[in-house]
Amino acid sequence: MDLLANIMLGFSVALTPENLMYGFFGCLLGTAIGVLPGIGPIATISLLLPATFALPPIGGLIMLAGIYYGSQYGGSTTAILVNMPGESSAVVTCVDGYQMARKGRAGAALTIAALGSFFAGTVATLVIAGLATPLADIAVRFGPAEYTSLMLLGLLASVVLASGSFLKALGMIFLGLLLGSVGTDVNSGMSRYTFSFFELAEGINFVPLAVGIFGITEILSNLERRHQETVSTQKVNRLWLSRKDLRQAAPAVGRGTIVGSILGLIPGGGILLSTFAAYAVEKKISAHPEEFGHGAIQGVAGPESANNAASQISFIPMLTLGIPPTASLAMMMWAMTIHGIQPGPLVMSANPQLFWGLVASMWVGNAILVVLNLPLIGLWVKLLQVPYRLLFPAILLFCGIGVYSVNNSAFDVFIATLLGGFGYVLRKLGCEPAPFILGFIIGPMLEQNLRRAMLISRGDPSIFIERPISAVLLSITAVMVLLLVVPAFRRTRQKAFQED
Amino acid sequence: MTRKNNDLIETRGWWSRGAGLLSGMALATAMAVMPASAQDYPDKTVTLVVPYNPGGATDTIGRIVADGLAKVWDQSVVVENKPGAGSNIGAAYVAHQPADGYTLLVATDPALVLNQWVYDDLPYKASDFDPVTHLINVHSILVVPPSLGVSTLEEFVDLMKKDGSKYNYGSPGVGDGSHIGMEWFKNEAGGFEMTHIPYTGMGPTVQGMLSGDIQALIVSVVTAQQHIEAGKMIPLAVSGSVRSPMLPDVPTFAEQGYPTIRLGFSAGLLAPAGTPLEVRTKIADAAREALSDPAFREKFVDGFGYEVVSSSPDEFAEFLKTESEVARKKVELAGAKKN
Amino acid sequence: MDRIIKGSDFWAGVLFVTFGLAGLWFGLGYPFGTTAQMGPGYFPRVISSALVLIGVAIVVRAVRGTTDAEPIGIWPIRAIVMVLGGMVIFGLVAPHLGFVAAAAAITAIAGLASSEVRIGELLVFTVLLVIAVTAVFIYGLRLNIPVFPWG
Repeated sequence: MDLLANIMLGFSVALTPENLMYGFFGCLLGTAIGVLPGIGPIATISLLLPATFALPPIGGLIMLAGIYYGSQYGGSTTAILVNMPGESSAVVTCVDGYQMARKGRAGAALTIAALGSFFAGTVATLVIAGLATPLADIAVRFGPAEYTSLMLLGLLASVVLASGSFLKALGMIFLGLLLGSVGTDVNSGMSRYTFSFFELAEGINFVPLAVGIFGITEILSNLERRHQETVSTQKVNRLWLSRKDLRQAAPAVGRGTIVGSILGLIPGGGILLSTFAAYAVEKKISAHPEEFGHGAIQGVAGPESANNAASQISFIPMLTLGIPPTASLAMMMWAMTIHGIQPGPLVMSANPQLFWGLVASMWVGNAILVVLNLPLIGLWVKLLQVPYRLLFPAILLFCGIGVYSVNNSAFDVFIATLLGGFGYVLRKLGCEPAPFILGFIIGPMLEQNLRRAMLISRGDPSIFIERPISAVLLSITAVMVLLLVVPAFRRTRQKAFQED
Repeated sequence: MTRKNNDLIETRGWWSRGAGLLSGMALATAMAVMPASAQDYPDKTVTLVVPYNPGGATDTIGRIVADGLAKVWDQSVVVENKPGAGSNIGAAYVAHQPADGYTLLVATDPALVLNQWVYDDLPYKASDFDPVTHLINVHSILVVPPSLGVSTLEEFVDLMKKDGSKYNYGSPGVGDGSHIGMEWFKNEAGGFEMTHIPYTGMGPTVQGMLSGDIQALIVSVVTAQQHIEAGKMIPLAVSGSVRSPMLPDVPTFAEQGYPTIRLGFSAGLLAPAGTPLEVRTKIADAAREALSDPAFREKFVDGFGYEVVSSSPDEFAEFLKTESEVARKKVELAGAKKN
Repeated sequence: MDRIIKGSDFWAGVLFVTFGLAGLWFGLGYPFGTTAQMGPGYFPRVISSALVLIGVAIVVRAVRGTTDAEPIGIWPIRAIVMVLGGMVIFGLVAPHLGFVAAAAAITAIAGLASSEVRIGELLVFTVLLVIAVTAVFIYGLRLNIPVFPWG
C-alpha cells in the first residue's frame, strides 16, 4: 500500500529526536508569542521566520510548522480569553469562546479548541496523505465566477454570526464592505477613500482593525461595566470538560472537520469561510440556537476544528500547485522555497522525503501542540485572575506593540485607536462586530472576483449560472436568503400586529 | 539596452574560485587611496532596508546579501523590513537617512525605476538616492496553457493578431512587471488585442491559468518550471540575454526576433544621495565577493535561476538611466499610472 | 420621542445612513464603468446605496416603535479618554522617543482609566512590565523599534 509506505517514510523523517526537538521549540515559541494579545500569527511567523533559516531543511520546516500551529492556537487563545482574534479565521471563535470565558468556562473553551484542532488535524493529515493529488484538481475548478458566488454565500452566512437584529447585522456587513474598499483599486490603480493618506494605499490592515474593533472596544466595554475585578470570570470552576460538554462538542468537532476539509481546498478565503460555515451549521442544527452568542461550546468546537482542518488541507493547493491560500501560509511557502522545496505539481515525486516528512511533521506538530498546551491552559486561565485594573493596561500595551510592529508605523496605531473608538460606538448601538469584520475581509475578494468574472465573460452575467459550481453555490445562497428573510419578516409582522 | 557594462559572472567559470583572492587584492588597492572615513567603513552595524515583508523575493535577496556582506566585512549587517505601498514606504525611509553608507535600500524594479512613473506624488525623488551596485536579475517566461494549441512565440503572435479579442492574459496586479511586460510585448509584436485580467498576487494568477480563465502569463521561471514539466503550461520565450539554466530548451525573446523585450526584475542596492563614492565602491566590491560564494551560487543561481550581475556604482547608474527611460515608456503604454 | 432618541436602533440607522451618504459623496469622482469593465466606482456606489437603504429601514422601524432596542446607556468619558489617549501617545512617542518611553506611557496612562486605580501599584507594575516587554520584544525578538531616545 502506497499510502502506508509514504506515511512511514514521512514519520521516519519527522520522528528523529533532533526534529522532534525543533518541532517542540517551534510550538513553544509560536504559542508563547502568538498568545500575546495583538500579535497574530502573521506577526509571529515573520518575527520567528529568520530563526529557522539557519537550520537544516527538514528541521527548519518542522520548526516552522510548529511555529505556525503554535501561533494559530495562540491566536485562538487570545480570541477566547480577551476577545481578540489574531487572524481572520479566529474571528468566529471570539463569538462564543469569549462568552464562555466570561462565564468562567475559559478552560473548557481552550481545551475543546485544542482537542478539536488535534482531531481535525489528524483527519486532515490522513486526507492529504491519501488524496492530495486528486483533490488538487478541485482548487483549479475555482475561477472568478465560482469565487464570486462563494463570497456572496459567505457574506450571507455571516449574518448568522449575529445574535441580535437581522437588519443591523446586514448593515454591519455593508459597512465592512465599504471599509474594505479603502485603498488602491486593483483594476485601475485609482485610490479610493484614502483621503491623501499614503499609508492607506494598500487599504486598512487586518491587525489594526482587529485590535481596534475587538481589543480596544472590549477594554472600553469592560471598563464601563464597572465590575472590574476579574471581569471575565465569575469563578473559574474547572479546566477540563464536563460530560455534557463532551457530548455536545464531540459531534460538532466531527462536523467542523468535514466542513473544513472541503472548504480548505479552495485557496483564498476557504479557511475563513470554513469557520463560519461550521458555525452556521452548528447554529442551524442545534436544538437551542438561542444559546449561540452566549457561550455555546459547539460554537467554539465546530469553527476551531474547521479552522484547523482547513488550514491543514490548504497545504494541498499550496504544495501541489504553488498557490498559497493565506498570508501566513504564503510565508510558509516562501520558507520552503528557501529550504529547497519549490512547491508545485512535481514536488511529491521530485522530493518525496521532504514532502512526506512535511506531511508527517504536520501531524507531529499538532500532537506536540496538544501535549504542550493542555497543561498550559491552567496558566492562561490564571492570567485572567490578574486584577483587571492591571490586566487591561498590559493588554493595551501588547495591542500597541502588535499594531506598531506590523509596518513599524505609527499611522497604524492611530487607525487602531480610531477604530477602537468607532467599534465602541457600534457596540453601544447594539451592532455586533463579527459580520462587520467578515464584510471587510470578504469585500475586496468579492469585488475583485466579480470584476474579473465580468471581464472574462465580457459583461455577460450568465457566466454565474452557466458554470455548474457557481450555479450550485448561487442556489444555496437563494435558499438561505429565503430562510433568513421569511422568518425575520414574519416576526416583524407579528410584532407589529401585537403592538397595534 | 546596455548590457556590456554589467559583469555577467555566470559566463566566467573561473571567477568564483578566484573571487576571494581577486577582490581581496582589489579591496587592498582601493583602501590605500581612500579617505579616512571610507577606510574605516564599516565600523558599526550596517542596515539593509527591505521595503517588503519577510518571506518574499526581495526579502530573500536582502538576507542573502546581508549574510554575505557580514562575512566579508566581519561586521554585523542586519535586515530591516519596512513594507508597504509598493516599496514606497521603505524607499522614503532610506531617502531620509544620513548619507553615510550605514543604511541602504534593497531595491527591486518598483523602487529602482518604475514607481517614479507610476505614482504622481512620491514621498521621495529618484535623485534622493545614489546607486551602489546591481545585484541580480530574476528572469521571467511567457507561458500559455496547452489548450491554446500554440507551441512557439510566432504561432502565439499570429493567433492573437487574428483572434486576440477572444483571449485574456493575467497579471498579479496593475503596474506589476508582468502586466507592463505584456503590454510592452503586445506593442513590440505589432499590436494585438488581448484583455488584461488583473489578479492580486502571483498565486491566484497561476491558478487562473490552470483553471483556464487566462491564456497567457508572464511569470518567473522558478514559479513556472514545475507546471511546465508537468505539461500544464507551454513555455514560449524566456527573457534575458541568455537562456535560463533551469529551462535550457526554451529560446529567448531575442532569439525569436524581439531583442528589446526585457522582463522579470532586477535587484540592487541604493544609498541616500550624498553617500561618498568610495564608500559605495567598497560596498559594491563586498557585494560582488559575497555573491560569488559557491554555496550561494548552488542554491540561488542553479536553484532559482537568478542571474548575478555585480557592477560598480557608475555602471549601475548607467544601467538605471537607461532602464528608467524604458520604464517610463512601458508605464505609459500599459496605462499603469496611479494617482 | 424620548424613547426613540435614547434607543440604539435609531442611532444605528442614522450611522449607517451617514456612512452610506459619505461613501456616495466621496466616491463621486470614481468612474462607474460598465458591466463588462466595472470602474473603481461601481462597487462602492452599490454598497453605499445599500447602506443608505438599510439605515433608512432601521430608522423607520425605530420610529414606528416596532423594535424594543436597548437604550444606549452611559458614556464612560474617563475610560475612553485614557485608553484611546494612551494608544495615541504610544504611536506618537514610539518612533521618536523610543520603545521604553512609549511602553511606559501607554501602560501608565491606560492604567488611569480604571476608577479603581492604585497609583503606587500601577507605577510598580508599569516598571516591571516595561522591563519584561523590552526583554522579550527588543532583545528576544529583535523588533525594529528604537529602544531609547538616543537609539
